[in-house]
Amino acid sequence: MKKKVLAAILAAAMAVTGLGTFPVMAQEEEQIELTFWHNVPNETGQKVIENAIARFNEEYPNVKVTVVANENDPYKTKIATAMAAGEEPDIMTSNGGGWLKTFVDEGKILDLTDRIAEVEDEYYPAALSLFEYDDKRYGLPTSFGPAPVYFNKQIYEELGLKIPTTLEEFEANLEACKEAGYIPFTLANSAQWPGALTFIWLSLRYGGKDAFLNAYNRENGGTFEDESFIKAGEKIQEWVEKGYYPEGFNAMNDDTGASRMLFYSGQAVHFISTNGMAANCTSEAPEFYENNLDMFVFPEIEGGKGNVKEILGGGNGWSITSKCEHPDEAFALIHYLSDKDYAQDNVDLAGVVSGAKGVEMPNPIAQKVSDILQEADYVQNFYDQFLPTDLAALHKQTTYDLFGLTTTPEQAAADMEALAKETLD
Amino acid sequence: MINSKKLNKRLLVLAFVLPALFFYGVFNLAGIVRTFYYSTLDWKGISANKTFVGLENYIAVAKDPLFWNALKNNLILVAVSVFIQIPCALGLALLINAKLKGARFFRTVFFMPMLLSTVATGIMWILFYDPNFGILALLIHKLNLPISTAFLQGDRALPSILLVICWQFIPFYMIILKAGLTNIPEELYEAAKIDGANSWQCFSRITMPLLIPTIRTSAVLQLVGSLKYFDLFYVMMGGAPNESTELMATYMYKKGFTEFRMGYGSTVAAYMFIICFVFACVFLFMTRKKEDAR
Repeated sequence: MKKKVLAAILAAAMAVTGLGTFPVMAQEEEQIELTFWHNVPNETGQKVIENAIARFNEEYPNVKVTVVANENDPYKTKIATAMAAGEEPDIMTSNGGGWLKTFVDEGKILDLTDRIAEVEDEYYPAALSLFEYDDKRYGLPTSFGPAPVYFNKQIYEELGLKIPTTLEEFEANLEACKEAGYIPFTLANSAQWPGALTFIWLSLRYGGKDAFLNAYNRENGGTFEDESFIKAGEKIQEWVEKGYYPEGFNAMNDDTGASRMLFYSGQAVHFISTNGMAANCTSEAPEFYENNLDMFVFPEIEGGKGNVKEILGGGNGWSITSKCEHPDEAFALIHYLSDKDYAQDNVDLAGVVSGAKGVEMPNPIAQKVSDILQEADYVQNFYDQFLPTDLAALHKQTTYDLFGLTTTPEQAAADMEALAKETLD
Repeated sequence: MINSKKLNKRLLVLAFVLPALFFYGVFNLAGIVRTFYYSTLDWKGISANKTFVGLENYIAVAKDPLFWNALKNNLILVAVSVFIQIPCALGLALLINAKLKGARFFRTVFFMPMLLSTVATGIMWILFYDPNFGILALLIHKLNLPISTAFLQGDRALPSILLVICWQFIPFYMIILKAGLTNIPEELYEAAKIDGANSWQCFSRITMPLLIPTIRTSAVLQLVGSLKYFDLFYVMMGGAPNESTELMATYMYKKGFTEFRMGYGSTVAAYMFIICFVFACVFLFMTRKKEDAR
């Protein structure tokens, strides 16, 4: 049984490393080698990384960087296995949050607080905060963005709809889409996190950022049974019952593009997704990107405690592992891999907005992403990235069940609270 | 003289067995032993920090309703494998064994699903099952059938995946049974026909009894394979099977690698090992008795 799992992992790892390994050679006196694992799945993104390493090698010709590209889900397993075996790379990528914290707690990640203090001003504070625990910093951000409500602006024009500023207006738009024969939302929820985004937005708007933070920190009487979580669940089930989602969405696979196909083909109007969506769109449907794609921040709810300046988002970053023998060079490298030049390259070539300030946005979509980030005063990381791993898994499972109408909002909240009591108290 | 010959022979046998034994020992036996060791720990799987907790994990798993639910799904998979796959495979084997026109062609066609890798099979069927763009959804829409196209959702997810498993594995057992059929001497049928037996009698009195050992082997393979099954469920449920499609192996993976509870995951693995072992022993014992009685 174990053998099979391991075989699957190894096979996946080999397939990816086989494609992704390319050593960057340099000849100098003291030869240093740094291994670097990332999970940027597309060609343009890898080109951006190559360019940054080339700039790094101009200053550090004696450092040979071995790059290994990985797929996202196998990557997480691979790094955990490598850590256990003591064979982790010098530099690794993560989404920060609870997942990275597991490794920080085990002393596997290098504390970068002092080093980051020198370059801090170059980055958005919210982006840096993804890799911050107890006032210590463990990473530099490489991509950073909101998870907005994407919509098809041509359909909005056709139906004469306006960008909603309240939930009431938003729901009126959804109803109008439904009546006109469109699917209001596209969603492919088999991996469970895509649907969770809607849940987080709703609870963020009902309860504000404090509802979640209090529940997580076990402060001010906050719990996961707070009414904002229950209301979010109720709203989701109301929308499911009204038929706002595509047939069979809980079984559709986001990785294989089931949700995006409905969106690109103009059958579905809205799509709540991560900043990776815009990047996918540039390569999968460039015309749609140019003519149809637009976005807005999830509207406020009348009577809710949240406001439009609190947004849902997340990103990726680079961390250095504790076993790295050349932390100075490694930090210089991750700085090259996240600085303003990198960020500019990243948005120009790959359409990905990074965590560095002062970048010129090449198109309206990127500009909008940047505007949303600058107007925000709080960025809520995805719960499943932020929470400890077992609570994160339960959060995904319960929201999945909410969408599938196989649990009640009260039950989902009670299940979360029960596990939170065990793991957080 | 004779003794040294015997010794030589033994050494030779040992020399041939040793490499296989080495790999089996390192990758199987050592793994099993370590799994049992890990199952007594409270361990995240990445740290040096391991706490010995004795049988605590075993008690926790025994009380875990999700584990029993996973075992139930495994047992459904066993039942489907043994009682649907083998009869279907037998039917197909008889069909391609009959001297019909084009039997060779059909043998190749029937065997095709087995040649695809499991991940490719899984992704292909995800696309077939797609509720909006899938070929099955198109058929349902074209024929205006009043059926939901949400195949991989809720109660229908398990049967939908079981269908794919049948589709993938029936050919394998078809080939095994076909090999068994080829081993039955033609003279027996000729003799029976001379004695006036009809085709049903030929089948029930000659084919079936002589095929029983092959069927038994297939059933054992099915049994153990189904109890430790992992890949299609993992692939088709997007790496996150739900209660209705959770198996013991996917549950173990979730606990060990997604939630970083390696001790707990190892305990699930240990239970799996025990369950597989007991099932296989009981099955072999029961079928052996029958043979002796005969």
